[in-house]
Amino acid sequence: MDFLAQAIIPYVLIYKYWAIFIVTLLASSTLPIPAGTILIATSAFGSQGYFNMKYLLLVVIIANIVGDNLLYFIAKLYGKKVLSKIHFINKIFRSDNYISIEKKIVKHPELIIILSRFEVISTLFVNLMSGMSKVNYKKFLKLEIIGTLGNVLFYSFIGYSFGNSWEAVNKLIGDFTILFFLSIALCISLFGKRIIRRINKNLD
Amino acid sequence: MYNINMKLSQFFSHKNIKRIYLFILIILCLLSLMLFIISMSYFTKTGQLDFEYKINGKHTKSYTPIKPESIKPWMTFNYINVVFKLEPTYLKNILNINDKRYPDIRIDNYSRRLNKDQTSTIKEIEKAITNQYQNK
Repeated sequence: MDFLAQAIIPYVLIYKYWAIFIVTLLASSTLPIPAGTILIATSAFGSQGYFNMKYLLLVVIIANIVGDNLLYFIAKLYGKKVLSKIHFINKIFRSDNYISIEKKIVKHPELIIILSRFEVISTLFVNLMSGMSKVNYKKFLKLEIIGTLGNVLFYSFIGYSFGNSWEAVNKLIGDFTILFFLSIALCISLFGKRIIRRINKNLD
Repeated sequence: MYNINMKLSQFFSHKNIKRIYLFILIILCLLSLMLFIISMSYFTKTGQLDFEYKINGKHTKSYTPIKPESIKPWMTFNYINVVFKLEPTYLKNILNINDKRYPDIRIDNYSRRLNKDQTSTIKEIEKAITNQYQNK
């Protein structure tokens, strides 16, 4: 178990649903906390009878949606204003690459928003980008809810199914995540040019 | 010397760098796939990985209950009571716990407060649970 999760889980055991709500909210809005690990652990505790699974799922889903929306609105209202004061970031905002990425996110946010829910840093980054590039709110909300449901059901199913073995499973998921991102990097480096050409064609 | 420099710069040309990068990525992918398979087989062999599922509250597969040896310092007494299905006051009475925060106190915090070694506290808890199971 990683250091952060090990520090947080005892508080989850003591303060139960309140702690789960706060940790999930922070993970989806401000801090890169390992929310997946914590959800696997709490679902395993649920299978052991420590938590009620229905309440647990409800709390996690609500906290995720609230956190995502919070960051989206903060980024929409103050994101560019605040971040453009930093010279280095302002330069990035003005670059052609950033502008083209922004255009792509606004036009086709579906896959990015849904897939990003499965990894905490990408969730934070995509929420921030969606808010700053003013992705249509209804679209964002719909995709974000679909992604959150997928993410929560995936991790809680694993935690609940493996119960007492959750620590071993968590280690395996860590290995699998490394493998997944490496394979994506490999695919992008092999087929990246073709993908970009296709996206550009679609945009034109 | 000039030839070596030329050869080196040719080797590290844009195309070659891309090939090297791809080669490293493929190796890393294979290594992490190996790591994944090795850890999976290790966990399965040592019995740490056990898929279990319940339908209507009943375990449908040979269910292995949590063992007293798997108690960790970060666990709270409340969690241990629930998981091992103990009476809420059982551990309090057996271990003579006077802490007001019981049962919502971590084992390591409890041991630190009493200047006790946390491994010996865990062993005491394990012993108490095993005795309780034997008496049942």
